[in-house]
This record gives sequence, C-alpha cells and structure tokens, in this order.
Amino acid sequence: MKTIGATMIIVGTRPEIIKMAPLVRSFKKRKLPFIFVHCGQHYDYNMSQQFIEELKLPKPDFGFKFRAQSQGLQTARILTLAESVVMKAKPKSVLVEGDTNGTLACALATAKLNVRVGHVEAGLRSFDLRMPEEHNRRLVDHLSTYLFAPTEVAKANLVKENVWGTIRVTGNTVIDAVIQHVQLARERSTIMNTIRFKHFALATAHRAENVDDPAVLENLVEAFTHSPIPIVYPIHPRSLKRLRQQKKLRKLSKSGNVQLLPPLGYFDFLTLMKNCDLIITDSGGIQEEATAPVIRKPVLVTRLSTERPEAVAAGFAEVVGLKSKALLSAIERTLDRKRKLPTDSPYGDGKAAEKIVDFLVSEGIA
Amino acid sequence: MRLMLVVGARPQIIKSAPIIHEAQKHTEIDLQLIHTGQHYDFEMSKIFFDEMTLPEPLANLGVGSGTHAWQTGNMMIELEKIMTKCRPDLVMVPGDTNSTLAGALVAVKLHVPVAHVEAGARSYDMRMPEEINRRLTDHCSSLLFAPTSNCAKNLISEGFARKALRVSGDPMYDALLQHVAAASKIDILKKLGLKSEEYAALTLHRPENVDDSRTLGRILKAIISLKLTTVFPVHPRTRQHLERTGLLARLQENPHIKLVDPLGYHEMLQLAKHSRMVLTDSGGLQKEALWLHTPCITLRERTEWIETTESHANVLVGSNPEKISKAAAKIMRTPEIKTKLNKIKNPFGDGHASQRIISETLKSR
Repeated sequence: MKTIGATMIIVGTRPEIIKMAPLVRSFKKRKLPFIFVHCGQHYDYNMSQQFIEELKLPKPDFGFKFRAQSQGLQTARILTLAESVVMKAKPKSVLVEGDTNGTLACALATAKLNVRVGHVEAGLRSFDLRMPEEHNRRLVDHLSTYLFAPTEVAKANLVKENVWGTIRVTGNTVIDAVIQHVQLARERSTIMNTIRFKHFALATAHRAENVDDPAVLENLVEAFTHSPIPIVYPIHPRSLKRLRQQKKLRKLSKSGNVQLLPPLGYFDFLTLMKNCDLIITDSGGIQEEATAPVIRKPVLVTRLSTERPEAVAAGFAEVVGLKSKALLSAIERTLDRKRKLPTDSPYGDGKAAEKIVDFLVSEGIA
Repeated sequence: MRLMLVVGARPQIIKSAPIIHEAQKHTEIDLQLIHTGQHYDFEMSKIFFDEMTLPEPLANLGVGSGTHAWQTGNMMIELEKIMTKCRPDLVMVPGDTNSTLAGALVAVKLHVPVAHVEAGARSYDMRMPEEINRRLTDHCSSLLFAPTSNCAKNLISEGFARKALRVSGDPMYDALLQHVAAASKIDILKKLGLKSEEYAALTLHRPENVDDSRTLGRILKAIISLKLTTVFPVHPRTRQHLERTGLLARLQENPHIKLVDPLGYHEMLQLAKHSRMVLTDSGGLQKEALWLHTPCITLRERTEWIETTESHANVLVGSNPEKISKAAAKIMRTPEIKTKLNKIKNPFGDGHASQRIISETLKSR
C-alpha cells in the first residue's frame, strides 16, 4: 500500500534484511501502509533482490543501485538518494536498522527533512571507536526520534548518552526473524542430507582478524581435529586460501573429525544451527541467534571479548579466546554440562517487531 | 602538524579567523584551510576574508547551495578527495553548518581525529538542522572545545569523557575584541543616516521564519509597527522570499525600515554596537549583542546560546507579534539598559580562546 503518511522501512545489507523482515511482515499482516526501500550497492543488488524474494518479502518499492568505492562517497550517494525518496514518498516516519554507512546516511537525510527516524537495534556499543560501525550507531541514535533498544543494557547506554528521542526496550527482531525463518528453512534446506555426523559442533570464523591470522587458524585446526565432538565447518574462502598456503588444509580436510563446507546460504546455516549440539563462532549475530528458543544452543566465542554480554550472562555463551587448549577444554566442559540452557532468550521473546509496531500505532504514526 | 580547518558559511569564517592567525604563529603547524563554498557565492564570504586578513584557502570546493542531504553529500565527496590527498593529522571544524558535519563525517571515516570548535551548544530543538549538525559533529570528535562551562555540562550529560573536553572560551569573542576598534572607524551610521541608539538592527534568515509567508509577514508587521528606524540587511535567501510574497514592496512603503544588502563584519559590528536593540534569528548575533552590551530580541522559540538569556540581555519571542512589541517597548522605556548590560559577566571566556584551542590541539598529538 503506497499512501502519503506511510512508514518507510529501509534495508541495505543482508543482516538488515533479516532483522527488518519481521517488521515488514507485521505491517503487512496488520494492513498498515508501508514503503519498502532497499539501498544497496550495484554489485550485490541482484543477490539482495533474490534474498528478499527467498524470505517471501514484498518487492521493494524503491531500490538504490549505486556505485561507490570509498566510505565517504558511499555515504554521500545514499544521502542524496535517501533524501529524494523521502521527499517523493513523504512517509510519516522512517525505520532504519543497525550500524552501516547506509543506516547513517538514510537517518541523516530523513532527520534533516524533519521526518521522524526510528532506529531498530539502538544502543549497541562496542566502545571501540576504531570501528566505523561504532560511529554509525552512535550518530544514528542521536538522530532518532524513536530508539528501539533490544535489551536493558542497550537502553542504559542510550540513557547515559542522554539521547534526544524516546527509548523503548522491545527485544531484538533477530529473535523474531530466527523463529519465522526456521520455518522457511525447513521447507527449503536440504543441507542435513549431506552432513556425515549425527551429533556435531558447528564452527564459523568471519572476523578479519581471525580468518587472516595464521596463528589463529593453526589453533583452530588443532582444536577441530582433536575435538571430542565432530566439527562441521563452513569455511571462509580467505581462511581456505590461508590454510592451503600454510599446508594445513590437508590435515583438516583428511581428518575424519571435520567436515568442511563451502560458505552457506542463510537457510542452510539456520538448519545447521538448529541441528547441531554446540556452536563455535566469532560472530556477534550468531551469538544472538543461538539464544532463540527454536535454536537454543551453547556458544563458544573464539574472541577475547564480546559486545553481546547478555548471552554470556544468561549462560548461552562463553568467551574462550583463541588458543586450541582453552577451546578444547571448553568443548569438553560444554558437552559434560548437566545444567540446561535457559528457555528464554536474553534478546527478547520473538515479539520485538510486534512491540515496535504496537508502539508506532499507539503514537499515531503507523 | 598538518591541521586542516574546514569552513563554509560566513559565521564560520569569523570564528575561525583568530584560530587561523594563532596557527600562523606556530611554525610547527602546516595549516590547510578549506572553503566548502557553502555560502551562495564566494564573493559573499570573500569580504570577510579581506576584512579579517585571512590567507587564501588551499581549496575552494564550490559546492554551493542545495537541499541538506545533497549539499552535505557533495561536500563529503570533495572533502574526502582533499583529505586523502593532504593527509591532515587533525581536522578542525567550527560551528554547526553542513560544512561542519561533512568535514567531521569524512574525517572520522578516514580515521583522522576531529576537533570541534563550539562544541556542546544545544537548543534541544531537533527541528533545527544546526542542532543535528552540532550533535553529530560532537559525537564524531575526540577533542571538543566548549565555549562555555554550560556547553561542557551538556557534553558531560551526553557521556563524553572529561578528558576529551576543553572549556576554551569562544573564538567568536576573540574575533570581536580584535576587530571592534577597526569597526569603530567604519562610517556605516553616517552612510545610512542613523543616530546612535535611535534605531534597531534586524536580521532574518532562518527557514522557519522566512519560508512561510504568513510567519514572515507577521514578524515584519510587528516590526514595522514599532515605529522605530530599523536597519534590515537582507540575506539573499530572505530577499527571495520577500520578493516572491510581495512583502518587499510593503517594507519599501515604510521609510523607517531601511533595507540594505548584507553587510561586512566590521559594518555589522558597528551597526549592532550603536543600535538601541538587535532583533535577530541568528545564533552568532545573539552573542555579539551581549558582548556589545546591546539588548537582543531573538525571533526564535529556542536558542543554543541559553547563556545569553540568563542575564536577560536576550529574550526569546519566536514569531509572536505581541511578544515582539512587548519586548521592544520594555527596552525603549529602560534608558539605562546598556549600562546595566555592561556589568554582566561574560560566560564566553576572556578573548583568548584561540590560543587555548591551538595549544591544546598541539598537545593532543
């Protein structure tokens, strides 16, 4: 439905599409007017369109297909495009998600037109200002009229910064997304037919400092080949290349304890998360997704710190560092553990999107 | 140290001038002055460069006016090129314009530290684009020069670490002290046939006042009916709206309203100093009026310079005609008001803000 005074929902990267999907569905279900905008770079435009289709979301009403090599140019391009689309569609409010350059540019263009910005996943802080995302998040929070904080911790960060907008703790829409998408994954993924093990740990490494570091990879190879539970490892292409150079790839691929997989699509990955016994990862998002009631898996975090303290406090996640010995003993400890994981996720009850829409309706803007 | 200073709008040139002159005294500073070209035409700001004896900018990006996002975006594109080429060690951005924000955003994305001059000013009115610019620029900055202790307090309330803050004073006040003597030699009063204390000075340029013809008409009607000689230097943006709405002709029917072209810095100082009162919606002029001991009526609902209202030197009237005439009448019947304003303690520092800004910037490395 396209009418003046609708809510504009903007997505860009894949995680943004995933986390905004429950909101789009809620607007659709309630027959509330909304305008769906995809702001992506030209090179991943078709892939994003395909992904949006796979999630059974409506086709975006507007799509930005821009080319930009640098961060500044990227922000500048989206600024201009977002301004024109907001001017044209005249939404009552614009919802943005997360912490990318696109999130910031859309929020800035919107706020300057005196249109209300709602920030989904507001208040996250790593306190590491070398990360561009940290700046983006902070700036978007200070631009927003409505701040949808996933947790009390996030809310406390916002209160400490005396943001100008209204804060609501809604839970994280990522939990809603996992619940909704596990259903779709069941229909679409056949990945389990290819897995050699009945019980296994699912391992991933995404962060640049891990996939590129020979010492880290060596520790992972050591731990995976000796793990008391077999490992399923969708391997990052850069790690693969690095391991080949280090002549460690053979050891890993020949090990009967490890099954290497190419990088996986969203539904295949969700299916593996649902069927594994334990997750080993350096990803922040996976730490959240693992706490969803439909997944509910222990996570060993192969990093020195985490910006997801809630998962640790709730007993889902444990930060184990990057040494093989520490990782191995953590795997053993986790497998022996008698205590059950909590039934509730610290990131919400899967109704975050509904709470956000309820709030927008109660404010009279959706 | 390669210090890049990004300016664009005219008030930024004024507040940057003392900083530029201070930086020039330090041989260890390689100053890279960038003009974004935000202000309509370079000529409009060039007079300021001449009056303040400023060096030619290293580059004039010539971005020009446009919508906010377009202007900010285009500035970012050009600034990114020039920062990548000139590799500054620190980018300094004064004030709260789109140039300020564009400079801060590009620097932060290139991992160049940002210093914000005039940090922590807050009107708490997010409908003002400047409020967004200020807030975001502060949150991009690792070195924040607060003009007053109240501004520092605002920053602390937003979670900034005290070690990133410096209460420096306001370089705009430095500029005023440095130029008030030269300004007194300007014969603008004679030129316009004015007598000291027997006229008001008016400026209007903010979108919420000039874009809507009803608001603009209401304000001007109230000012016409003050029956006080009023000098009105007309901003190009305001002139457009006056012409479009036919209000220009109405003003011209009233000989006590003197419409003039935008003035230079010295002329404006002299005009404000000798006026009975200043009526304005500008941020900088509210402060300048305070420093010149001239009572100010601010044609806005809110101000980021709350310090000026605390001493009753400045009253906020918005666009309300009754409030405008009441405030003006009060000033008219208080002949000793300027003597009173003379005694107010200035919260904007001691006129040495620029020295502090430069020495702290050098220390920050």
